[in-house]
Amino acid sequence: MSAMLEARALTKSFGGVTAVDGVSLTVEAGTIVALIGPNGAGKSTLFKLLAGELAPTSGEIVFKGENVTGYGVTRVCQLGIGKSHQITQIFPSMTVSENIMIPALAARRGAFRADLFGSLQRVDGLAASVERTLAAVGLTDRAAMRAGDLAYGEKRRLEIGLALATEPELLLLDEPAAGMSPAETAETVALIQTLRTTVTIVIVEHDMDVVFGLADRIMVMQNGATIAYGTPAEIRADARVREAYLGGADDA
Amino acid sequence: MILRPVGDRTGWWVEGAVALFLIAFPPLLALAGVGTDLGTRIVILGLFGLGVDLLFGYTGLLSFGQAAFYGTGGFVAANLLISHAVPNTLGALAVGTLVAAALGALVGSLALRQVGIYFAMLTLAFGQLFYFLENSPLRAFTGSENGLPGVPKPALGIGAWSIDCSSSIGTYAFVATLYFIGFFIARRIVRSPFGAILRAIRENPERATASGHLIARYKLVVFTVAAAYGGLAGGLLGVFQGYMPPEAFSIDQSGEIIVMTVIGGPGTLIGPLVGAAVWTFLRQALQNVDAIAGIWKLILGLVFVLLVTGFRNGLVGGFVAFARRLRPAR
Repeated sequence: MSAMLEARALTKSFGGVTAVDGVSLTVEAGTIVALIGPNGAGKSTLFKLLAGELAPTSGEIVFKGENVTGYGVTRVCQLGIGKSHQITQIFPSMTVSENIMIPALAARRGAFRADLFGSLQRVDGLAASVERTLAAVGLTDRAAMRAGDLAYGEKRRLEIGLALATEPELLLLDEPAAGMSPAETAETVALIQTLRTTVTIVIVEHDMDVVFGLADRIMVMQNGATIAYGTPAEIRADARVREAYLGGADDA
Repeated sequence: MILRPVGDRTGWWVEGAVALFLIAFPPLLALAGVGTDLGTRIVILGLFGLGVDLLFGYTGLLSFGQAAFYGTGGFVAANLLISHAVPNTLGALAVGTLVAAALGALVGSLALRQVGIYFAMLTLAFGQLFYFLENSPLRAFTGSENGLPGVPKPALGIGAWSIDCSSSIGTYAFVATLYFIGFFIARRIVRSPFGAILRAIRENPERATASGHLIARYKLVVFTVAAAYGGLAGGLLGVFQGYMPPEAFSIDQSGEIIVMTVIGGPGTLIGPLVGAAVWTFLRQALQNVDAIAGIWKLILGLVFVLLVTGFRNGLVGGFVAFARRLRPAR
């Protein structure tokens, strides 16, 4: 089994600030990789590079054997990398099912099609895809509700649903449990556990219970660079990680 | 699960209602003591506004340069008819529409490189550019500040096999039929998958992009379609008046069609028609009151402010919200 995603020596500088500094990362298909590190470590910037939202200053990203560096977010998404954002990005005045329909349309009919006289019914498998995604994120009974009127936890689930509806092979989750109650966090963990059977996942998360409960591999970042990469047991035992993050000035 | 068009809970009765309204409009105008020509003018603006609504109401793209396409379509059709280069009214209108659409694709490909207020400013600049072109370099083609008189009245068919539509009601029927076709097409567009993406672009362009849609192409296509609507409406203006006015290119024209769309209800398609009716009637009525002869524009402006403040989604939006409140809760 070859690697699904390979990031090689990725660097991103903003003016004089280097947010991501020569980071390499390999993600095997079917695994969950977690990125942890203190605030400002470069996790979110790395995610933006992987999703094509930002182009790296140097280094390259290879997805399923294809060099996708500089492809841009639309093309990267079409190839099969979906991302749920740290800050909820929904279509607020559309209903929940309409929200899910938008990325599902991109997955089903491509990046552009001038079907000005087409019909939603005739988009192959669209209804089934929307239904499946709604069920996966537990929003079936909210389908007809205006997305802007959802409760906070539901909006976060919709955010994951929007990424999932692009039918990705690699799902990037940027702090999916941010701001959630313990009960909602547990639900989100259960959701990610069900997703892992069909999709490869990279997750940024501050909640250590979530990270150690889910991840097959953990990468620890500090000041834009990788300081450790390994299994949860290895990371727990790593002296540098303990000092930099887990044991030392723990802000969590 | 039944997939319904995004943001649309209506059905085919809307097309029926619009058709009925178009048929009933001239008798209603007569009851109010107004001639049919005013109705024709309103329907032409409603047709122009269909494009503006697709662009602004559905996709969230505010263009201040739509007069460029209204004028272009108008002057191309008028020239073809006056010179008899195209003997048929519909043929000339079709050519005018296509030229306006091509111009829309060109202007759109340049202006859509920017977003928000910068896009709006670029469309304003292009609008002014075409006003200038009309006025000076292209004066042989446009008649400059005099416009083009002598545009033949509409007729269907060619030569001996033509149906004369030159009477007031005949012209109205001609214009109203084309409006209905334009409305039907616009409805198909907003209810299609393509239309769903347009709404997504208005709501959250970043998310639409991150969902895997090439929004730049969607914007360019809808900009081109809006230009085509402007071109067809402009052509009808010349045919209806028997004269193609240079004001079709003016910035006032660009601004007024946006005002009408906003008053009537953006994102409703019939909004611009309603807005054009209200605006045109008010204008006519206020101008005829001697007591306010000097300040009728000021009063019209105040009415605009009140309507926009009172109805956030225009008159149609306000009516829909009112009708929903009357309906018993499910």
